[in-house]
Amino acid sequence: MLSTETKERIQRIIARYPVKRSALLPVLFVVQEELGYLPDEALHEVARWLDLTFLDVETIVSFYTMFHRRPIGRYHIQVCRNVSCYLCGGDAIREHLERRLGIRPGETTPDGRFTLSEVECIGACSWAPAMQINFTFYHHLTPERVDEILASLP
Amino acid sequence: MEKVRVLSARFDLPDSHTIEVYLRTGGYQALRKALAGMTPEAVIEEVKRSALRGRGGAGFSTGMKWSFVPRDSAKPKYVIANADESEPGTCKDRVLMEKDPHAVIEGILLAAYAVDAHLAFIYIRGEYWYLKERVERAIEEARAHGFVGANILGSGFSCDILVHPGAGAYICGEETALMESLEGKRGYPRIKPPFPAVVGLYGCPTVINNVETLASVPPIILNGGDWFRRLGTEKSGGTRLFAVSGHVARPGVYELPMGYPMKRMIEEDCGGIRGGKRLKAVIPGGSSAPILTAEEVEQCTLDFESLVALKSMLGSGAIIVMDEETDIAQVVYRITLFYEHESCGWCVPCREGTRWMRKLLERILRGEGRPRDVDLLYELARNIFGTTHCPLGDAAAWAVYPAIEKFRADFEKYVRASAVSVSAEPSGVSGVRRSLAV
Amino acid sequence: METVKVIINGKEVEAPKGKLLLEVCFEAGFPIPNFCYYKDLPPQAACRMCLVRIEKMGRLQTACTVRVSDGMVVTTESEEIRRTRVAMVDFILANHPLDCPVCDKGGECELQWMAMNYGDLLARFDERKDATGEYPLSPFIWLDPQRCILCYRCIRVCDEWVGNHALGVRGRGAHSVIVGNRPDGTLACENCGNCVEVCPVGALTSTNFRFRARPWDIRDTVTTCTYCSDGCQLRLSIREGRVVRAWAKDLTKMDAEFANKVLFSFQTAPETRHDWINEEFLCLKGRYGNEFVNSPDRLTVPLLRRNGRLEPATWEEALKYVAQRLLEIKRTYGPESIACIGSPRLTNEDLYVLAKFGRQVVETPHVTHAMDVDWRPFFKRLTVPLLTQPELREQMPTILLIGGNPPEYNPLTAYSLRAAVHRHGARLFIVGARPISRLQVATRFFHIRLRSEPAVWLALLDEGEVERAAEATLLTREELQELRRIVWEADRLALLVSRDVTGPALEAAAVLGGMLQAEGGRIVRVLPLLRFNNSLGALDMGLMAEMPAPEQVGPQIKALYLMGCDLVRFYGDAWRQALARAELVVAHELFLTRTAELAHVVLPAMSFAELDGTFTNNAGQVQRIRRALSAAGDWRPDWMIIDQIAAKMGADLGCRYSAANIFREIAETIPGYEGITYARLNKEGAIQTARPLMPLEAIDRARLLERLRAQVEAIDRTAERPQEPAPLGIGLFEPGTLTEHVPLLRRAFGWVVKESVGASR
Ligand SMILES: Cc1cc2nc3c(=O)[nH]c(=O)nc-3n(C[C@H](O)[C@H](O)[C@H](O)COP(=O)(O)O)c2cc1C
Ligand code: SF4
Ligand code: FES
Repeated sequence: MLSTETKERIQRIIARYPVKRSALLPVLFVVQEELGYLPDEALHEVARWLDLTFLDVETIVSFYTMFHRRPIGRYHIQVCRNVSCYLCGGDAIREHLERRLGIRPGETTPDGRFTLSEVECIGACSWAPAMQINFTFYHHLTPERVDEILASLP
Repeated sequence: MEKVRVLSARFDLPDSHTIEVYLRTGGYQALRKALAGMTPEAVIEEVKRSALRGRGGAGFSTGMKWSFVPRDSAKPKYVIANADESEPGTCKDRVLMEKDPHAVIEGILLAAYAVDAHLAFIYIRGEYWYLKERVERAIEEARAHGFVGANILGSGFSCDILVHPGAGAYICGEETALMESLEGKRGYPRIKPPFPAVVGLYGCPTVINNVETLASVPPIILNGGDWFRRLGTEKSGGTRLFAVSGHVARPGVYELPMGYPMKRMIEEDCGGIRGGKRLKAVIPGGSSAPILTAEEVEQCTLDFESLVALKSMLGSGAIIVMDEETDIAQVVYRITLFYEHESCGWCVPCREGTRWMRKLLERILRGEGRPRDVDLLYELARNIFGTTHCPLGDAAAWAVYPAIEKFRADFEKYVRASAVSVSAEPSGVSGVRRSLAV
Repeated sequence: METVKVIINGKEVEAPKGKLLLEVCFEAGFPIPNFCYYKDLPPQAACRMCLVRIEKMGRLQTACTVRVSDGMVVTTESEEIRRTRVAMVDFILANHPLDCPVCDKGGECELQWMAMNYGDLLARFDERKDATGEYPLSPFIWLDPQRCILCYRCIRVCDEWVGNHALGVRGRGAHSVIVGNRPDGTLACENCGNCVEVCPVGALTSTNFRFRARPWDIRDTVTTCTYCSDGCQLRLSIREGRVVRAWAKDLTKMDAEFANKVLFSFQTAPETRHDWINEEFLCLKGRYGNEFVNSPDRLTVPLLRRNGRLEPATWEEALKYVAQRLLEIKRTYGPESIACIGSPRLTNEDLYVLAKFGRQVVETPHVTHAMDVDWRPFFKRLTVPLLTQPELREQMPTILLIGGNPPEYNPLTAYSLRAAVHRHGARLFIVGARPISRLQVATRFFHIRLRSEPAVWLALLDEGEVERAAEATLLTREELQELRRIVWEADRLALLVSRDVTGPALEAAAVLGGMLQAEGGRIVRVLPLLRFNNSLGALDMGLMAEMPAPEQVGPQIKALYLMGCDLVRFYGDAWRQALARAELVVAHELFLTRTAELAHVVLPAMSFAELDGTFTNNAGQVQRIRRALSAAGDWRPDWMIIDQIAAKMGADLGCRYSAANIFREIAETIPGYEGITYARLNKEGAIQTARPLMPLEAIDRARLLERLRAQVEAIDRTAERPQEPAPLGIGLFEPGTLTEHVPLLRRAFGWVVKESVGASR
């Protein structure tokens, strides 16, 4: 299911920790990077590598918000809804995105390009309103900026 | 009050994150100094003298914390840099790691030397993936120069550093939840005592500090604890990074000495309230800190003591400024949403209380509240406060009840609008009788 | 132990240092409400119901996590604490469905009690609740997540008691839900139901109990489990003449008022004391395997073979027929032509009467019982006392298990092993041919060749044999030396002997303890892991002769008197033909078994739920079973049937119409049972019989070694070390004479076979 490179990368990560289990989160990130999400089989495999049970892995995955158990869009747009962004017009950005993409938070565009999420503070408060697309930060958003950003995505 | 740049000294230099710039500007001199001529105890002593207090939230004395690590323990010891930075309003660790990762690394090495740890972790929130990569690169640079790894600078002291990603859980910023998470478990806070200094990561003695706290250590070792303390106040030494957000003309991350007047910061440094409006309120230490009114801001200085006197806290140093048009009820709703979302679910008052407060607030904001609902909200927050397993619950409560005390009108305007619909209710009954079948 | 002085609500109390404050308060007469606290489980501090004020501490503290220290000043009753408790109940009830009238827990729910006692009956939660439906986690267990208060007891019990780690929490915050270990959140485990039992509310419920009864219309009887030889105590709940559940919750350790008022008010349990050998543990069979009692397939009247068919008959007809035929056969072929064979599931009273009948009335030497392993040599050469479960849990720092799979065949022993490790850090060493997935608490596992257990005993007995044993077991010499050190250097050692140890190795197991103790200063105890609930009782009652071979039936043996033993199922089809050759087969049975079908007379017997009597467990402890049900069919106790037949044969067995009378005779005649009476058993629970021990000098050790060497030589050297653990639940679910008639278990056989293999990994 995973490429040999990824598997080797995972073994290297595991080797770095004094206790195998500690490698869980980084390993999950690597798996998710390759597959786009974390299907059951992937969790079974991770469990095997780390001497854990499926239950362990699954309950841990579900504790954290950055893991996806189902496929999501190629671009995961995460708009911040917390105070600082709210104070600086974050809601307008979200509404603009909803209109532009025709989806509500939690949904994915039919072409599978975009998934929209409302997230809690992403650490961009001083440059609000802000969002992240996948791992990239976008600050000082305005509806126009948002349009430009979307247009610039490959 | 003199504005010295200690933490942000390199922020404006081109390529400030590289080891070349760091070395050129005095980097790793503190480590050299410590390894060459200071005992671990002397390092701790210096940090104690500096009156450095934790920049992560609780403001605990860093030197004290280090001195709690049992010297004679046969177990391995660990140092953890807490870079989970998820407290709403807070974005200073991000700047620090982006602009000056080597300062953090040097601070970690000094802490490790002080407590005899040979492995350190930087637990960085997953959203900061680019910083994880940047810091990892910096560690490799440092390793190439002999600052990280075995036998550092020929001193016989060895220490490695591992960057570990979080995965989207505010609670993992809480030190023991962080350790659980780092051990590959659900991020539940542990029962304390024992405290991490004695039983921490993998059950071993562990020092955990905010990255900014650690980045403050090299200048302390280099210039002396007294020097650092004198930059701030007697009990809150040094300078710190303040992340200012909200309705100011120039939001941003500012380095200011402890004890600096908040009013002056807003007006001078941040260019005053945006659009020439008046100040209404400030949340002074990240969303967990009780809100301050404009009057309270007048008397507030940026140090731990001043805020404690105002029954608030300096917390993570995140200053959220709100102008006169801000609806505090809406602000409180955002924060309550956050705490409900981030409650780990371990303990009853936080898990159920935040959900209840959120639902109640939603109803109030929809205009379906009854006058007594504001009191109920207040009471719920009071009931959460002081009963939870970890401070997240307290924070959730602190975001609510002081806001009602200080800005009650903002809440009541919603229930007054809907007062008609409930005036017919019989008085004296404060709820629905529960049907209990026994 | 160091004691400290603590002041609780102004009263000075002495307590062992480090004891949990909650427990100290409880014992001092200040009960503290709690949900997530559970004795012997690691503290959780999740429900916050136990908050108390401790002087010099800024915040309220959870009494369930604080350990008492000298001079602690505690307040557990105050306006502040009252208000806090109201608030916590408020929070718990906020999203809890108030469906008590239809909830199975209604009436014995801890939350209900807490709401009544500590809550505010005026609910202030007016918002819409986040509702979820209920759904099955397995054929046995249902979950209603909305009722769940997330006390994590079930998870902790599964980890700590059962060693299965089959439950966890999915999601976070208010979205947290208890889930099972399969990808869809259901459970792949043996379904012991201990999680259901500790659930304080109606979140986890048992399929067999759901909607079947209310706590106030059931009556409980404390009795002994009828499955394995560990001998768990359980409470059998009866509603309208049917068994509706079995449980083992220790009601005495709960809020005393709660237990008395809420629980016991409905029940007339004969005993409220609870220091059972199994504490609160039950396994799958103990909990869910009792409903064979209710089965419509139970025999209700005697059957007599007429014209080749079994037809209903009256007791008088049937008994007369048996008595006559036995007399005839005895007269014609001599007493040796009759074999009396009992079942190791029956009571001591039944078996004693059978033995007496066989010897004194029939006068045959063939008086025995169906055995899977011949344990006689072990008990004959026993040199140290048997080990009880509480001793195993509390007093044995070093434990060695050789062979077997306790989680499957002796679940209580497995529980005690885990408890020994968790509670006081006992070192557990396991020697076996397969890893045991649910005893991962073991300090070390010595992986040996399949069926090479005897060689391990050889090495333990004689250092000179290490080489030979290494070759036979595939262990290294160093490993065997280490095992020897473990055994020979332990101060207090528990030796657990499984069914995989047979013949001379069994004798070695019996003798080793004595040899170790002879070295001085040591204490050694052995626990033989026998198969059935009264396997040891059957031996004690003297059913000890060689089991006749099927070929003997016909030529030598003409009549078989079978009491509750299904020879065809137990020993295989060879017995079908054997039974066909017999002139008389009499079977006491609950069901028309494969053997009973071939009998000439079938006599409907009483089940353990309808009888008074005793069982002797594998530690030699005698425990009571009690009549919980009145007879729904025309069935009789086994002993009474024999007594009546004997009477018709002109003999008096002296039963005098009661099991208690028979037991009195047992106490007078069977060594080790002296002084035990029903009255004492009722008061003391389990009473350990004193076993006659063999002096070491009387044992020919050289000869034993020689025979053991021969046994080791015969070990199949081509066998391997299986890497896969034995699949989960197969042994427990094994269809048997009784479990076949438990609808829930019968339905689950297929499920287990399908789901359990490899599912927990
Ligand atoms: C809910 C919660 C979240 C926290 N998040 C962070 C965080 O993101 N970063 C941080 O440095 N400290 C955080 N803390 C504080 C840590 O628990 C801990 O006090 C801190 O890392 C200690 O470092 P310091 O002494 O240098 O401040 C958090 C505390 C709580 C209760
Ligand atoms: S206070 Fe909230 S976050 Fe902290 S343990 Fe309790 S439920 Fe978890
Ligand atoms: S019993 Fe102490 S917190 Fe639940």
